[in-house]
Amino acid sequence: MRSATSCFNLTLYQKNLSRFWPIWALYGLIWLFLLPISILNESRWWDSARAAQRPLQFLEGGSAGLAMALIFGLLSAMAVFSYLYNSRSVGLMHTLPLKREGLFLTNYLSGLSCFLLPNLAVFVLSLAAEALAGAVNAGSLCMWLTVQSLLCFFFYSFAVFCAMFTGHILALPAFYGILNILAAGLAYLFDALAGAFVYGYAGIPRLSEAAVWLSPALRLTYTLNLIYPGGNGVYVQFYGLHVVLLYALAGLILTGLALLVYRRRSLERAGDIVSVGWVRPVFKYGVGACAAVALGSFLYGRMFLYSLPENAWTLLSFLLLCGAAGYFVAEMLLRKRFWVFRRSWKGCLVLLGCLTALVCVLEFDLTGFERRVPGSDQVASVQIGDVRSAPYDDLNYTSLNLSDPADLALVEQLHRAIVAEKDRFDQADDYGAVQLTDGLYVETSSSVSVWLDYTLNTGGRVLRRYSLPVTAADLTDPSSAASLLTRLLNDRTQVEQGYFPRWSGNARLVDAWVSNLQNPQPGSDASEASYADVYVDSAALEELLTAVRSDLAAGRLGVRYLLDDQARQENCYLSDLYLDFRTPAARNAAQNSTDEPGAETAYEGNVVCITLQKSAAETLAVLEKYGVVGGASQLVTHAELSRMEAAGAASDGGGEYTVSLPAN
Amino acid sequence: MIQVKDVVKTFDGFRALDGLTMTVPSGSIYGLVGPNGAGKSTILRHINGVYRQDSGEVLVDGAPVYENPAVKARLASIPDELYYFLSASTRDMMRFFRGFYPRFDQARYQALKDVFTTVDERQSIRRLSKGMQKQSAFWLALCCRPDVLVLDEPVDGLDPVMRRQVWSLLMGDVAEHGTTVLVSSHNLRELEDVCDHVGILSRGKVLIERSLSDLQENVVKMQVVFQEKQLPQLPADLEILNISQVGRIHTLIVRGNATEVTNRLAAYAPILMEALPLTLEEIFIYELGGEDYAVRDIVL
Repeated sequence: MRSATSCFNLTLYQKNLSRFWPIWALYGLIWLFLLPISILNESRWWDSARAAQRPLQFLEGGSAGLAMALIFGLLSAMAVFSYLYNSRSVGLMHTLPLKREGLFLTNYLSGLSCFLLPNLAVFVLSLAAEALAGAVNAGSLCMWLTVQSLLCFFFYSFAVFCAMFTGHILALPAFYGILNILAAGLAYLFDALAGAFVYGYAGIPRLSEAAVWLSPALRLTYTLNLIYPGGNGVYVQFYGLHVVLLYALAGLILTGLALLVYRRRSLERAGDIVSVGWVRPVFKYGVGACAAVALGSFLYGRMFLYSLPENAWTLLSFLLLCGAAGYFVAEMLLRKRFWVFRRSWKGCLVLLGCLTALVCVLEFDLTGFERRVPGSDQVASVQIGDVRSAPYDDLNYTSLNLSDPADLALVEQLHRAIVAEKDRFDQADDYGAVQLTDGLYVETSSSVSVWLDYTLNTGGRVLRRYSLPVTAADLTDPSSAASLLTRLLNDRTQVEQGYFPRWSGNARLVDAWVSNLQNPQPGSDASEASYADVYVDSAALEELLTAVRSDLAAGRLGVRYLLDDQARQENCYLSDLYLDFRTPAARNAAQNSTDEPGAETAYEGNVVCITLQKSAAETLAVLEKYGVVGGASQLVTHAELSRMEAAGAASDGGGEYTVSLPAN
Repeated sequence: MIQVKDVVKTFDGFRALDGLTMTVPSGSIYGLVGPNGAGKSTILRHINGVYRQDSGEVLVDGAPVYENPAVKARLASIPDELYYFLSASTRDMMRFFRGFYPRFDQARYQALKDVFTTVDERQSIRRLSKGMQKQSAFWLALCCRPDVLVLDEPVDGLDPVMRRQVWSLLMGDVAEHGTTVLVSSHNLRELEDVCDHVGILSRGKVLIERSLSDLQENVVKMQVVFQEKQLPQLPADLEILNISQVGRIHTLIVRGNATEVTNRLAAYAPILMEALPLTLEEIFIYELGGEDYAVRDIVL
C-alpha cells in the first residue's frame, strides 16, 4: 500500500508562485530596469563596447548581481518554507498526501523559479533591446544569465539549508546573514585573540584562506571581477566563473543536506530558534564563545584599555563575563524564557572552563608555538615582509625573498634572536626617541615590524610577525636581532632584486632624472635656495645604469638603515635618482589608442627610485660627468642640510622648485 | 481501521504519549476524550502523519501513515486551529485540495453550497467568523471523500443548527460510504449522541476503550437506602469508583454490570435500591477520578 515517491506537485508549485508573486515580480522588475530598459534608454550611444560591458558590470563583487542574489535568495527561501515556522501551517502542509521529499522539492523548485524565470525573461528582453539599440553581444548576456542564475542558485540553496535548522522565521535571516560571514568573522576574532596572547602570532594562512572560502558573501565579493585586456576587439572579460561554479556545486550539496535534515525534521519544533536537536548545544556554546571573543575583546581593547591593567588576565575576565552573558542569552532563546540560570549554570561553567583553558594555553605557550623556529634545513624559502628602513626610496617597506641556504641560516639566527629576547621586546616602549647631536636630530631608538613568511620543504607555511625594537646599542651588537636584520636588508642580491625586479631584464631604460638638487643662491639667505629636478642626457643612460648596478653590487649604493641615525644622515642625499624603464609590453600598449582600456595599467611600476648616497662613487661620477650634478645643482646630505639649517644658511622649503630638462 | 500501537512521543523530555494504544474500527465514529494535556491533539497529529512517533506504530488499514501519501490521500482532517493561506478563499482552497486528493468530489462541492449558505466561497477565509471558518473546513474536508476523517474539536464555534447539520452529514457519510470518523472533543453530551466507540485518554495513555454501550453497561450508578443510615461494610472486590450520600440515600458508582451489582447489594437488604445508567460525562469524571483527576469541592 506504500505509494511511489512523488517528487513534485504541480498544484503546490503553482500555488507558491501565485502566493509569492511579489518576490519574483520585484526581482524581475529591478533587472528589467537595470538591463533592457537601461539599454533602450542608452540606445543613442549604444555600441559594441557597451553591449559587451553592461551585463557583466552587474556581476562584479559588490555590485547589483551579487546583492540581488544574496537578498532575494533569502526572501525566496523565507517565503516558500515559511510554513515550517507555524504549527498550524505545518499541520496543513504535512497532512497533504505528499512525501517530505516531494514537499521539499516542490517548494524548493518554486522558490528557485522566482529567479530563474525572471532571469530568462530579462535575458530575452535584453537581447531584443540590444537588437533594437543596434549592437548585440549575446556572449555577455549569456554570461550574465549563467553567473546570475548560479549565484541565485547558490544563495537560495544556502538560505534553504539555513531554513532547515530553525523553526523561527526571524531567526532565518539572522542565521543566514551570520553564516555568510561567520567563518571569516571567527577567524578574525581568533586572530585578534591569539594576537593578544601569542608572541609573534600573525595568523594561520590556511585557516584564513579557508575562512574566506567558507564565507561565501566575502569570497565572491573579493573574487568576482572584470578584466579589461584591451586590443583584439575584446573589451572586457569576466573573472571568477570558476569560483561561481564551485559555489554552485556547494549549493547542490547544501540542497542535498537540507533535504536530509528536512526528512528528519521534528515538526513540533515550529517556533523554536533551533529546530534540530544536535545543533542546539552547538548554538549555545557557539554564541557563548563568539560573544566572549567578540564582546570581550571589544570591551578590553576599546572601552577599558586605559582604565584597567593591560594584561592577559584582565582580558580573560572580560572573556568570561561576555562568554557567560552570551551563553545565557542563547539559553533564553532556546528555552524561550528568561529564567534559565538554575538549569544551565553547569553548561556555562563548562564554557568558562574551556575559555580559561584556551587563554592559558595561549598565554603560557603550552603548544610551543612561540618558541618554534623553523630550522633552515626545513625551509624552502622565506619572505621577510614590509620592513621599514631608510632611505625612503623603493626599498623602504620592501620584502626580501630568500632561499639561499646561507640566507636561510641567517634568518634562523634572526628568528632565534627575536624569540630569545621576547621579554625585552614585549616590554619595549621607548620607540622613536631622538636626541640632538652636533646639530643633527639623531634617532636613537625605534621599532620595525617584521613579517616572517616561511615556506617549508613540506609545502606548509609558517607565519610570524614581530615588533622589533631597534636601538643604537643593538646595532653595534652583531648577534642582536636588529643587526642580523640589517645584514639581511643589505644583502647585495636582495638590494639588486629589490630595485630591479624581474621585469627589468626585458626593460629598456628610456629616461632618468635626479630630484631635489639644491641650487644655492650666492650671498643669499638659506630660505631663498631653490631645488630642482634635473634630467639625464639620453646619451648617458646606459653608462649611468652600469654605474648604478656596479655601486649596488659593491655596497656603495642602496645601503639600508634601520635607524635614522648619524651614519644614515651623513651618507644619504636628499636627492633620489629616478630610472624610467619601458618593457616591450608597455611599449606596445603605449602605441595603442589610449582610449582602449588596459593601456595605462601596462606602465605600472616601471620607474625605479634610488636615493643617492655619498658612497656611490661610480654613479656620482657619471652624474658629474654629464653635468647633472655639480655647479648650480648640488647634492646635499641630510646631515649637511641639518647643519646648514642650524647655522641659518639654508632652508628646506622656502625656495622655489624647478625642473631642468636636458638640451636634447 | 486505525490502529495505534504502543506509541511514545517525547517533547523535550516530557512524555506526551506514553505507550498509547487504541483501535478505531472501520466505519465507526470514535470519540476521543480526556483532560487537557492528555495527548489528544498529539495523537491526532500522529494519525494525520504530521508527527513522527519516537516508537510504536500508527496504521490505517494496516499501513503506516507517516510518509505514506497513499494513506494520506484517503484521510482528511480538521484541526483544532485552522490554517488557510493568506487571503485564500474557500474556492481557492478547493482548487488547492483538488490538486492533492484524487477523490476530490467537485459535484459535492457544488452541492454543499446549499448547506453552507452563509459562507461566501469567494471571500477570504481569514476574514470569515470562527464558525464560518469551521463550516468552510467541513465543506472542504467532506469534498475530499475521505475514508478516514480526523476531527479535533470540530464543532467548536458552530451554532446549534449548523452542529446538527454537520453531524448529520458526517453520519450520512459513515452510513453510506463506511467512513471512519475519529473525533476529539470536550463536548461529551454531543459525543454521546453520535459516537459508537469511545476512548478515554489520560497522561498519554488510553485508560478505557470500548463501544459506548459497553462502557455504559460496565459502570452503573446505584442509589441505595440501607436499614442503617451508615453505609455497611461492602465487599472489597466490589469496585466502587465513587460514593456520595444525601440524607439516607447513598449514591454508588460501581464498575460492573447493573444486574450483577444489584444482586450483590441486595444481600444487604436495602430498603430502596435503583440502578441508573451513567452519562458519558459521568463516566469520564468517575473514571478519571481514579487517575487523580476528580472534581474537587473547592470553596473560594
